[in-house]
Amino acid sequence: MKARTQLRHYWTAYGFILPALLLILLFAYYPAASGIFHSFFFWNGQDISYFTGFENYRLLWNDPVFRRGFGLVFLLTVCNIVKMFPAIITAVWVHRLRSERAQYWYRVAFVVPMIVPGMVTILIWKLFYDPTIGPLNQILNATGLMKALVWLDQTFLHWNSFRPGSNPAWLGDTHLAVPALVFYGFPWVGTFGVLIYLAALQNIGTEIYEAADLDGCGWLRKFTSIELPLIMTQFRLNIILVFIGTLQDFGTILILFDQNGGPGGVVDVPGLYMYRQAFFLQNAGLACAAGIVLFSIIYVLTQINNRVIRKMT
Amino acid sequence: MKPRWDQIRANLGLWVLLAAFVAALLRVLTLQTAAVADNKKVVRMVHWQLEAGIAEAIQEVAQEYEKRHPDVRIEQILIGERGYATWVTTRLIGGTAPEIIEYGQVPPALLTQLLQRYFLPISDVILQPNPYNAGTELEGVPWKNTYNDDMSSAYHMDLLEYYAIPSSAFTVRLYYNKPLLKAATGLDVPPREFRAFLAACEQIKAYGRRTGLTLVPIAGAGKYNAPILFNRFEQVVGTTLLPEVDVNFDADASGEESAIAFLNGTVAFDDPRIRAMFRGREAYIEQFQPAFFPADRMDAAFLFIQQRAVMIASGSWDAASYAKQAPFEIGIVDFPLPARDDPEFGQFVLGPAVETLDGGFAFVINRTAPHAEEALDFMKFMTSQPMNDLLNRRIQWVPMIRGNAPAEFIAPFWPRIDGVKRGIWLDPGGYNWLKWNELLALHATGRAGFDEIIESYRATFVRNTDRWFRLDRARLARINQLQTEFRATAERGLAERGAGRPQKPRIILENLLARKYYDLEMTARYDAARAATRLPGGS
Repeated sequence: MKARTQLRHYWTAYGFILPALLLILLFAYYPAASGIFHSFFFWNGQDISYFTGFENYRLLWNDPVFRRGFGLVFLLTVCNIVKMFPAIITAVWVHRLRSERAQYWYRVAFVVPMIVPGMVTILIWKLFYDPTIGPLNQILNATGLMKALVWLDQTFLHWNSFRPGSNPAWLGDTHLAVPALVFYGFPWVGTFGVLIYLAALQNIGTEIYEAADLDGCGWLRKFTSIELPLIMTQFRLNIILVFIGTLQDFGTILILFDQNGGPGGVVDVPGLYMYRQAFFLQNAGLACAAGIVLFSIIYVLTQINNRVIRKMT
Repeated sequence: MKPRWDQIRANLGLWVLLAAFVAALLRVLTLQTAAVADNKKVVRMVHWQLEAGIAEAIQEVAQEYEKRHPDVRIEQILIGERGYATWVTTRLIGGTAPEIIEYGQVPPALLTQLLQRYFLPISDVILQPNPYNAGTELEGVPWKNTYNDDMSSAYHMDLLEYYAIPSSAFTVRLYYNKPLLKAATGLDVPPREFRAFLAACEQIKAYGRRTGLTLVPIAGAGKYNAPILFNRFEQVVGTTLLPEVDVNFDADASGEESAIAFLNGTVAFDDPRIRAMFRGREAYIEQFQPAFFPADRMDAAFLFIQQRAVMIASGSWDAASYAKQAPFEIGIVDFPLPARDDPEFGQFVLGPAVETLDGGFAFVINRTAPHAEEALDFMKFMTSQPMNDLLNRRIQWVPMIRGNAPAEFIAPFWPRIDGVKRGIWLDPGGYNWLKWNELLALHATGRAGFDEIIESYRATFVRNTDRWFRLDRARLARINQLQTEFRATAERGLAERGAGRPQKPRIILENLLARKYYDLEMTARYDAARAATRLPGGS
């Protein structure tokens, strides 16, 4: 009865959210439900579909190609968490600038790159790594660092990736593909991360800094005792986004390398496997099952992350 | 005044929205008025050929047509390759698709359904002469037979009908930078003989080192330009495998036949001819830029246009584009391949590689569009001998209509119709293709040799072939379901018309039986080979 009264009273408000709700149901929840449903089918994504029970999940479990991607995802997740710190340090540095005008211009400088489409960024990096005309090899050759890398390779690594008189193939060499992927985005000061941390840092009152100064706190103590704890909520959010992003993202690898996951599949990730199954091998049922597995992992990791970091803070 | 301005500013978003809506409304009304005002039938034509010159060439043909048919106007719609399939599919489903649609880009399984539901079968029409060939040597010749390939490439095997109307033929060749080749090697043309060609490549590398230029002999891209050279080499040195692989004696090696040959041991993975294919591949890899494997088509073209590579293998579709972009004179030659006197590969060589004259740049007619009849008439006009000549000369592509010759610059693209066919496919089916390419990437970077690759490939071959056949059989089952419907229609047609005269239903039934036989034959052979295989994972 109460619900009906509420509905009668607030019908305009409900009316306003109805279109958005319908669109979310249609474009977010329906495909997700369809994915769960089709993960139990042999489905080519179009007209061939028959029920196979847990066969797709069994195939995934037994597929070494699917499993091998999780090792790389783990490595990339660890690296991506480490890569969050340059953004935090940059945000703190901008926040501590005394001049408000300088702070403003730094904020603008971080927003401007947001207009560059992600695809363009990836293609620029692809050109950067190009062995024939890419700037990376030109820089290494011009500074003499290439000779050091050749020496390192011949003396310790024995990869045979760096050879005298020959440019290394950063994206085409089994030993260099993963380091190239980790190095991607250097110096890892992402616009989004910096702005989120800056927003959080701006909520810290000046009186806290004044008290810290009276207590004789240095810059490191201010960071560890004031700034870091107070941006922990944003840090937690970013860690969840890093988990989700790293597990889901395959676009960067697809464009930088190829649909096979680079030379010998060394940069293959589960997301790319899912893409190959759905759009290349027309095995959409298996791709749906892979999607459900990824979703389950992301869900569990998010829950763990929430509990652990909440306890820490 | 100020409060009023504040009010406007407060509702600025709403005003902008209203202004955009009014502008859009006016634009639509203007377009509709223009379309209605001249009272013409508008035939819309969509394609993904965004390269300079193609739309202009079609426009020229369209203007000729409009002179003869003042009541018709041809309009082109250009959609990029990436969004083309989605655009066409949604328009077809929404009932707003254009009359003429370029054939392709849509996934094969979806294409079959779209063809069946929306497009005009032209099997009957192409048996009649093309009226626009009047006054030419092709006057009175059935439209079908005015094509160099008798329109065979336009036939849809699953639906047993002709749908597509091609205009041009496409082959692949080696493009080269004339002045750079001359400067590096003193040659005017790259040698046709394989060993001499490799020697010329070494000269190019030496020239690069001598002059300090970043220069590679051939620009390669792992999935595009490089396989063109690999495939042609494999065709020549692997052709003697054909009699062992071709179990249905159609003088062609299919993916299914290749899989069966590997499974039952007729062909071993380490066969000397397959080893020779790898040797050829290694010889070419030495001539590409480092890390050519992850490079794509654009990367390779960039190297060639920027004069960092002397040669590039590509198709005739790139000729006009390269000529327009390159600040140097371009030459085009056939590929250098080993001859019978080659010390290493000669024992496997029977002759040069044959090419087929398949029709491309094809269009289909949307039978649900308002002016499908006029659209078909325009396509007859565009594929008449004089217009096909005009179109292909402007675009610089190889014409598909008999009696028409290609423009001088692209004359080397004319297909070679004498030579040997491919003997085997090493990567039958999607799963094997992926595994094979994963291993080839290791081979391309010197991380794995022939024996390691073959060992790794053998280990997964049965499993990957099983997965491919499983999907393919499901696809065949779906096609059989469609064919049952066709068969019923064909039988009804025969009963109604009487069985005495040669007619379309009889042809459909004959084709059905042939297709059915092929599927059954291949399935039975696959099952037998699968049961007898000694490859890992076969039990």
